Amino acid sequence: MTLCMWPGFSCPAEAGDVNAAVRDQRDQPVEDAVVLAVPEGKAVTIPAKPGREAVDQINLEFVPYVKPILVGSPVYFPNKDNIRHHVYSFSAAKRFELPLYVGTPAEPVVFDRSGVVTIGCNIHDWMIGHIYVAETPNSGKTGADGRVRLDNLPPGRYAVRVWHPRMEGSEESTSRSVSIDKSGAVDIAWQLRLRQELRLRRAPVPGQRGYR
Amino acid sequence: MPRAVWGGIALRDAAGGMVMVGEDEASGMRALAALLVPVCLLGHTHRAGAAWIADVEVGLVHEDNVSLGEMERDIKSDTALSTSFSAGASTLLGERNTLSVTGDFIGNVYDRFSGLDNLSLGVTAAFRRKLGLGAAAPWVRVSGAGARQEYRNDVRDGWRYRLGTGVGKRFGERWDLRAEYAFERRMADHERAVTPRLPGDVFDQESHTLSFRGDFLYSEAISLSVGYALRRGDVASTTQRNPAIFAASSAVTADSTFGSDTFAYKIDATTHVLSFGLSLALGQRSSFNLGYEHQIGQGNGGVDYRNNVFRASFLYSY
Repeated sequence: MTLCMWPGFSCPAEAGDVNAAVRDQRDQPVEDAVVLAVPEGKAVTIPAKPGREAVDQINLEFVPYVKPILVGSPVYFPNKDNIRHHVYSFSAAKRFELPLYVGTPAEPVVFDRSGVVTIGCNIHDWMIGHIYVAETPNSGKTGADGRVRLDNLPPGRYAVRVWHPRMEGSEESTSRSVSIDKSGAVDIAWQLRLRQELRLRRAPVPGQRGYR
Repeated sequence: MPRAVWGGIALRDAAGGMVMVGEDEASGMRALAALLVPVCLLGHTHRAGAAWIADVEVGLVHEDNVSLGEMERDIKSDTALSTSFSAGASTLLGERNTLSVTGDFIGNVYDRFSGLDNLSLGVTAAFRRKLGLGAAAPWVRVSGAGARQEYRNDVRDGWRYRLGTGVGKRFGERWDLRAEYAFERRMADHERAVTPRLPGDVFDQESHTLSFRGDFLYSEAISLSVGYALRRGDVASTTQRNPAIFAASSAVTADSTFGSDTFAYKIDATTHVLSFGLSLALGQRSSFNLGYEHQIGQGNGGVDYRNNVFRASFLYSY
């Protein structure tokens, strides 16, 4: 996702790419890591009308699990299950609550502060998702191969950093300063230390009735 | 006037005549009818988007003192193939409340003592309220259940009812703690006295149980549990002819389940149950589970028993 993707902006004729790779302490590729490039020394240009975003609820899970968006973006939460969900967040970047609903609420939730917003469902406690609200449109998420490309970056210096829901240490500690030349590509890699995955269990346990 | 007339129910038979159903059977029917009220309520709210429930559990249960005998000669062990199936629905009543109703089937087939083979068919209704927002919000739950139990040896046949209430809360990422109180009432079909001094209603029982349980999430796939329960009330145990045990009992009846010249006796007891469990997730909807219980029963007149229960099961939840 880069500035060039937004309506009203044209891609510069000369632009570079950042090829990012993220691995964990066992040298395994890390999926769902958000990589962003913030221009150094100049203000970030935010589109006047950010695009619509969506986090679905499918089969009692949030899809996608990690969603990077641009600050100011409206996000819809379509419920594609045939039962109701109750979406909420306690995160400082955005506290909100969408009481029980099916289908798609008429009004989106606008995420007007940068930061990480962790969302849950008050009925199905194992449902969890993360919305990374980025202060720059130059951001993306790694795939299963642990890689993401930020393309069409105007030439200049950028502070590139990475975030993951399970990372140990701060996001700021991962920041690297890189220089983007016109029509060039920069490769950058991180090895993150990740905590153990510990989401609430969905599989049944004898004697426990869960939300029932 | 026949006892069955008082508190009984008058039904019409196929020929149009009146048939009186006895008081105990009538009570059973009324109780089950009461449990059907939430079923109707659930049906009424179905348009709000009820979630279907279908739980199946199949496993083995081994008890080293399934007869709950005190004396060495009365202690019998056995293993049962146990299956259970619950089907129903849950619906949300507002943002914090869940009502669920299920029909429940349980079947147990024993290896050595076929008289214990049994089928149970019943209904459970439960109401759960979450006291806040988020995974760590506490909750309260009340439930009622009724079931008809049929045994191969019909001395144990009857109705079983259970009323329970519980509270629970998650603490941090890993711990889930809960406490529950349950009242159980068991109403047997038969009362066959074998001595003029004591009634034969061994399997007419009442009990109160207070239990505590902690679940620890070792990983997303592995959950460990530990629990303690304190039960006060009637216990049915087995013995050969034993005047001392009979003297401490409140009821005695002949019970050929564990052999000839064997008797079931009812005794008021305090039972301590310590339990441990391990659950391994197999995907999102199923698990493999191991459980162990150590039961210590302390009955009137110094009649005590110990029982160790081992369980292994596969559980699927839709």
